[in-house]
Amino acid sequence: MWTYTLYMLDAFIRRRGKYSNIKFKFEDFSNFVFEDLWKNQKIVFHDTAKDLLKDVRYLGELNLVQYNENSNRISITDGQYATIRKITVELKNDPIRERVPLVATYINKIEASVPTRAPGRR
Amino acid sequence: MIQPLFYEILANYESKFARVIDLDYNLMNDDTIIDPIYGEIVLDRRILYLTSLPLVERLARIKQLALTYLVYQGANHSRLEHSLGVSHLLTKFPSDLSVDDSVTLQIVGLLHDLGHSGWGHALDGVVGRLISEVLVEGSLSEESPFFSYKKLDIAIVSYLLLHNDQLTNALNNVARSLTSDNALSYVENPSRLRDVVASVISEEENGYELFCKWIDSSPKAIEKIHYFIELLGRDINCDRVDWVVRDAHHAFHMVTAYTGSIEKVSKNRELLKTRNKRGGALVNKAEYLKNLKNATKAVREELYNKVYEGTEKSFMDSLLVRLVYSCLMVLSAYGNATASPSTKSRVMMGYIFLPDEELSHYTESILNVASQVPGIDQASLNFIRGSDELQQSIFKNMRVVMSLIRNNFRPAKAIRPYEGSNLKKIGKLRIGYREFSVSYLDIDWFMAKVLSGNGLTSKHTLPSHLTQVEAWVLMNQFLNDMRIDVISSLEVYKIEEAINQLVRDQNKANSDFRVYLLPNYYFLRSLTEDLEDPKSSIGKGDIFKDFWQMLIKKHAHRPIFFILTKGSGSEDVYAIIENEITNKFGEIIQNWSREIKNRT
Repeated sequence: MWTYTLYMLDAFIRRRGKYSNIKFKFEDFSNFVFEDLWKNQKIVFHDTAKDLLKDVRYLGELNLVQYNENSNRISITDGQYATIRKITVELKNDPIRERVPLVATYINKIEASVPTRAPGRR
Repeated sequence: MIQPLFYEILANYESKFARVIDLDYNLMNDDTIIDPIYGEIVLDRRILYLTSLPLVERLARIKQLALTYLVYQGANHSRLEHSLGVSHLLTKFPSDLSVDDSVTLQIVGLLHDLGHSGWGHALDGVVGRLISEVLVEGSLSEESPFFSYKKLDIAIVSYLLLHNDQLTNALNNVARSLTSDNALSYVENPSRLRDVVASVISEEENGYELFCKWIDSSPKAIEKIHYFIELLGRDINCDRVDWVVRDAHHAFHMVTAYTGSIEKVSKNRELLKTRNKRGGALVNKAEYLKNLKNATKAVREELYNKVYEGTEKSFMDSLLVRLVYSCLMVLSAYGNATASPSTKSRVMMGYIFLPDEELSHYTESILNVASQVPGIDQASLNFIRGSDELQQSIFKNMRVVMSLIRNNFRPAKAIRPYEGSNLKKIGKLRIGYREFSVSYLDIDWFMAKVLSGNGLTSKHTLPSHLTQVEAWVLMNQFLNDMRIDVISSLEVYKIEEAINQLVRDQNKANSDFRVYLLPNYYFLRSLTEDLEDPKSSIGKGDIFKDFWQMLIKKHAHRPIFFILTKGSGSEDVYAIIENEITNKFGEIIQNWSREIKNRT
C-alpha cells in the first residue's frame, strides 16, 4: 500500500519541519517508520526496510521523489513536495474513512506521529 | 433470541480455549505419526503435549482450504496437518540444531497458524471489519501487539501467546524443560520461550523489539530469531514449501505431473547445509532458492489459477465473507446496545475463532435471529436478512452451486452480455420452489464503465484539475480502501437496498424477486498486490494505459461482483443492477474528484 507510504513520507517531512530543498537519508525515514509508527503506533504496513525501500523506489518512478541508489538518500524538489502535499491532503480527507474506521485509524495514527507544532513551523 | 447465543459464544471460548489444561507432559512419551507427505514423523513429547491443548487441537477442525473440497474432493486436509508438516520441515532444513532450538522451531511450526479463524483464508475479507471492531475500538487494542489489515491471524496468535492462560501455562511448562541454551535461560525465564515464538511467527524484522523486551542482554538471541524467521517465512519459507506440496497433493491427481516437483523440493532441502543470515551467508542459498522456485513454479501456478483464485473458490469465499460479515454486524450491534466493549470484543473474537462446523452452526443461528437486534439501520438489516436467505438456500446447497459454476463459467467462449447490460449469466438452479440465477460483473465492465466512465483511462481526458499521477494515487487509495473493507467501503448493503427498491417500484419482477450482491474480495486483493509489484512497471510511462494493459493481461474476465437473484424478473432488472453498482463506483470517484476540485 504505497499510498500510505506516501502519507508516511509527508508526515516524516512535516515532523522534520524543513519544507524546501528536502534531503535526508533513507535510513532516517526507515527509523521513523519502524521506530515510531511501527513500535509506538502499532502501524504495520511493511515487514522490513527492504519492503519500505520498494515503495520509495516506486514513488521515484512516479517522479514524486528521487532516490539515490549509491548514497541511499532521498531528495525532493519544491515542486515535488507541492504535489505530495496536494495528494496527501486528499488522502487525509479520504471520503471512505467515515465508513471504514480502520482507514481513519491508520490516518490518525500517522498524524499522531507529527507534533502539533512541528519544529520550524508556527 | 440473540442474547443466549451471544453469551454462549463467550462461554464457549472461555471454557474450551482459555482455561488451563491439567495435563502432565512428563508422563508422555515421544510419538510417531504418519503424515501423507513425509511419512513417519517423530513428535517430541512436548509437541504432543501442545497439540493436545484444545486451543491447538481446534486446528484439526479447520479445513486448510475451507469449502474447496466441494470442487477438489481430496482437499479435506486440516490446518493442524499443515502445522505439523511445517513443524517437521523446520527441523529438517538445518543440520546443527540444539535440542532447545529444535523444540522451539517445532513449536513455531505448530503454532504459526493458531490465529486463523474457521474457514481460514476464506474469511480474509472480514479482517478489516474485525480489526476495526476488536483491535482498534475494542478492549483488546491495548493488549494487541499490532494490527494490520494483512495480519489479523498474526495479531491474534501474538495476543494468544501473550495473554491466553491455556497456552502461556503450557509453554511455560515446556520452557522449564529446555536447559541447553544459556543465552535464553528458559528455565529461569520461561516466558522467554513464548516471546521468541511470537517474534518468529510475526516474521517482522524487528519483531523481537515488541515481544522480547529483555533481548538487549542477549544478542545471540536476536541472531537466532532472525535465523528462525528465515526458516519459517522469508527465503527458506518452510511454511510455503509445506502448503504448496500439501495443497497440491490433496487437491490434484498427483501421481504424474506433481510427484516430480515434490521430489525436487525434497532434494533441494539437502542443499541447505545452513548457517544463519547474520552469522554468514547460507551455503547454496541462491542455488536452493532458484531450484525451489523452478521446482514448485508449475504447482504454484496451478494452485493459484485453479484452487486459490478459481471462479468457484472466489464465489464460495465471497459468500462466506458475506455471511460472516453479516453476523459480525449483528454481534456488534447487540454488543453495543447491551454489553461492555470488552465483552463485545471477546464475543466477536470467540465467534470468528470457532472451528468450521461450529462457525457454520452459529452463523445460521445468529442470522436467524438478526431481526430482533436493535440499532441496525434498515438497509443493513435487509442485507443481513438477505444473508440469512442465502445461508438457507445457497450455502446449504453449495455442492450444486459449485457444479453449476464449474460447468457454465467459461469466460473465453461464453461471454453472453444481456441486451443493454454487461452483466453476464452463469446459470440457474431451483431450490425448493424458488429459482435462483447466478451472474457476475467482471473486469471488462470495470474497465469500460467504471474507469472510462469516470475519465480514468488513457482513452479519455482526465479531470482537468488532476494530473495523471494525482489521479493514479487517489485511485490506488480507493482500491486499498476497498481491500481493507469492501462491504463498508462500497456500502454494498445500500446498493443492494437501492436495487431491490427500484425493481419493486418499477414493477420489473414478481413480488418475491430479490437481488443479493457478493463483492469478490479476492479479486481486489489480487489486483492491489499486483499494483504493489515492482514488476508491474506502472508509473514509468502512460500510467493508465499500462494499468489498462495489466488488467487485460492478468485479470480479464475475472468477476468483481457475483450477483444472485431469486425469482423471475424482466431483462430490465439486469440493467438496473448494473447501473446501480456502476453509479456507486462513479459516485465515490466523482465525489472525491469534485471535493478535490473545490479545494483546488
